[in-house]
Amino acid sequence: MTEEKPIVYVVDDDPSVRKALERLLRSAGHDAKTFASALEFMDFSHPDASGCLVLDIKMPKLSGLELQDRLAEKNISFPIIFITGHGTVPASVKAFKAGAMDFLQKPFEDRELLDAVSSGIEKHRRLRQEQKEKETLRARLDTLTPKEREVFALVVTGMLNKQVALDLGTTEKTIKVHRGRVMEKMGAKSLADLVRFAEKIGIRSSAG
Amino acid sequence: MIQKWFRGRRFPLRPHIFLILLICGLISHPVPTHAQTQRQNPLSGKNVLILHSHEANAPVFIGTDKGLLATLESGGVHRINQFFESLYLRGNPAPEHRRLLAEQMRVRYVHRKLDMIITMYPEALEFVLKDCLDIFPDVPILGMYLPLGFKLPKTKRRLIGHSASLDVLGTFEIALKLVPGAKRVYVVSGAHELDRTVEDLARRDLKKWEGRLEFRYLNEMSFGDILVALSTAPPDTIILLLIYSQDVNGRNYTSNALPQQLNQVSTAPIFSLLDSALGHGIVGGSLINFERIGAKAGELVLDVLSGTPTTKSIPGFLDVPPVPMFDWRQLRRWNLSESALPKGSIVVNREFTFWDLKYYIIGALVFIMAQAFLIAGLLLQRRRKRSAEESLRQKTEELDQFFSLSLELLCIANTDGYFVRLNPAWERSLGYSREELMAKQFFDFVHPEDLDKTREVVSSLASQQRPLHFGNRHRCKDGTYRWLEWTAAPAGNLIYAAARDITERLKEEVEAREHREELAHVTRVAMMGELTTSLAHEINQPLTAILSNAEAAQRFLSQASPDISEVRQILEDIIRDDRRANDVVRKVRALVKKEKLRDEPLDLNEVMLVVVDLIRADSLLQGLSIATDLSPGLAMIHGDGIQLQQVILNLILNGAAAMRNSPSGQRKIIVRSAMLDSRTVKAFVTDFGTGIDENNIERLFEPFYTTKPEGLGMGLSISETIIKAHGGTMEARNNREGGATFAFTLPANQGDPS
Repeated sequence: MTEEKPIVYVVDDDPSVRKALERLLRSAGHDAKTFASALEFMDFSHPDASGCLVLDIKMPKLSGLELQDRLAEKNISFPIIFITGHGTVPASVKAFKAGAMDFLQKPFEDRELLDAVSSGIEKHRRLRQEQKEKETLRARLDTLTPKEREVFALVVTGMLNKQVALDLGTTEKTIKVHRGRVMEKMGAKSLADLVRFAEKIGIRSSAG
Repeated sequence: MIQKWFRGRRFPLRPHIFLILLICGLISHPVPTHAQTQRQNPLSGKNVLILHSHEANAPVFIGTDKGLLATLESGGVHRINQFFESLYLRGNPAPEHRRLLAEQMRVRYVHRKLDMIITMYPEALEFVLKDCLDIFPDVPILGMYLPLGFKLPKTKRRLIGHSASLDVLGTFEIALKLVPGAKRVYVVSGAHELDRTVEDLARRDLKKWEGRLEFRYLNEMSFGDILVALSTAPPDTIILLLIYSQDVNGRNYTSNALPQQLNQVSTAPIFSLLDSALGHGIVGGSLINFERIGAKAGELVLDVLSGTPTTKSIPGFLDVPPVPMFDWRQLRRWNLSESALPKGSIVVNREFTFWDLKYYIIGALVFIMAQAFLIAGLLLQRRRKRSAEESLRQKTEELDQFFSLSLELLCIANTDGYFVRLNPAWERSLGYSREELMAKQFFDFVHPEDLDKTREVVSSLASQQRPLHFGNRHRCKDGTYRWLEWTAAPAGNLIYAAARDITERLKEEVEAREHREELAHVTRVAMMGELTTSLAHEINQPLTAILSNAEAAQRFLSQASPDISEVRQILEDIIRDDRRANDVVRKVRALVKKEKLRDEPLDLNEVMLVVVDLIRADSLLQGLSIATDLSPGLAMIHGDGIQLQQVILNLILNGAAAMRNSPSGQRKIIVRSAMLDSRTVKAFVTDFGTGIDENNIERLFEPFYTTKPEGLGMGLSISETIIKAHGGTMEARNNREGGATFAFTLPANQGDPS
């Protein structure tokens, strides 16, 4: 699976700052894309790649905080690094509460920004990876028969085959066959894998 | 009413007329006027021939001619058209004489057209009608003095008769009244035919009295016998003189000498019938007045000549009644009572008593009184003049007093540049004595910088001749200068001037201004405190860009093959951003710095934009949008840019504060500029906030009035002070759609900035 190159999105209404940030990111080997306003960014259809958002809090029309809310509504998960001027403590608190990744006060050292951007990209990459895994597991789960799901749900609780057979009113041998099928279909090498998968896709034993 | 006569002339004694004449010093006898309408020139050129039967010097002719002549003259028939002829027919009635006379008439008048002939006595009438028939055939005739009962001969021409009706009975009855105790009457009469006719008339008239009085007719006597009879007449006798033109010896008596002679010897008063005898010895009587007859005849002639009124109204017979007339001296002589005279009597030769002269006396008194009033008036005027002089002197003293006491510097100077007069205030103010000040040209005391201006004022005073106001500095004895504010007016080659020492006032003004500036500065700094966030942002933006750019450049340069053009661009951007930061710092410093008040040409739009720029970041933070609507054709103004920025900043911050609790979408401020008129620029700051509390709208500009919990309450007060100092006004009002608009005006910069 080939991962696309991460992109750093910069939204700032000040052209000087915008341009300088783009240069700084580029000099550090990042792909940067700049936007003069939040709305402009909203209109942009970003590619399916990991990245992060560098966002000025104070902007006309749609502020950084408002953009944050809108992205959350749309379930767009870019980590957001807010950059701001002087003493906007209430705004920063609000931003963190809404899940901001970092909060930089202008003027900031290049390292501060680049570190934040790197970890943001990493965070997003991981997030995307997890999401993908989850989607794969869900697809595998869909291939299970209802009986196999029942067996899957009971097995991950740590129950023995005969306990499961007793619970389902069948033989231990039948359970064993189902269990093998579940392991195969879900791509689990061990019971521990199966338990982890179950956690990820949120399958809980009804009896648990 | 008894009329008064002077020598036959009527004297109207109306007091007011008299007074006027007296005052004018023009005492003169008015020309006698006869009741006669003035006839104009139509009658000029008409010829009238007057024929006397006998000698022209007979009293009857003299009197008649006098009245006739005057009347004709006044009616337009001039003397040169009046011809008088005496025919002497009484003395010589022979046919030969008559023939010669007729011939004479022909020779004299054949070339003239006669318009009227007046004959006196029947002989003359007869002569015209018979002897001159072919000479004056159709000329109208007035036949005067015809005997009573004379039958006018039949003729085709107009012929008007006249008889003098002698009033014997009237005269007699008047005489009886005047001499009530009379026992006898001497009737004096001549022997001429006419005389006898009159005597016959008298006898007939007096017949009824013969039983009561003794009548003696002195008719068949010589003149000498008559004189004897009169000189021996008893006192209770009345002498009645009839007509005496000829005595028994055929001697003619025509002059007035006869009554005089009779009177000289008579022992009794003489009454008579003709006015020609009045003044010559007779007392009077109901007299025939020849002049009056002449006047009446004249009027009749004029009527005939002018043809108006219609000939029908002209009588065929002229009748002139006699007039009761008396001689005052004779009344006195015979001691006869005036009160017994009949009504309408004319008394001549009156000698006046005081009582008679009462109108003269009253007139004189009035004149004297008028004089007295005049003199009193003149005296009063003189007195007034003296009192005016006195009050003038007092006024002058008062003015001198004020001149000395005045706190203002008063002076009279000449256009040569010297003081002529100075009041003591000069000594108090400048420290020089007046002598010292007057010794030099006053320009010597003027501050060198004000000298040109002062010379200009003096020369324009000398030429323009109207009051001027100006100010300059004068040196004191201690070398310091005092500011003087002048009002000066020219008068000839003098200048009157009053000056006020305004040094203290100017000092106070300067102090007040400095105080105001201090306060404005403090307020401004306080306001900047409110803006720190915004200012930090304004500076942080370029700093951020600079830092990032510089770091990026470092990275690019550390790469294997650095992009130099990229680095160059970065450096350019760094420089630009640094300038940008610098610019903000400069603006802020300007606002915060305490600087001397400046007065320079300004574009109000620029002033407003600087403020909007400064506050932009802050407004963003507050979710506030500031819109500008600036008039492109705004006139330049004059003043201090920083202070005006302060005002606009204050208004915007106030507007922002008023919208603190508004939804962020509604937080909007409009900054607007416009030309109010060609001389006024106006700025508006409109917000959409809570508006102004109408109850406190008047207190808005008061110091320490505030609605903001953290506010000092100085902002608007200082702003208004600043605008007033710039010659403008400030106002505040609520908008109809909510919020408030603060506005101020400033005078547009007209002409050259000085």
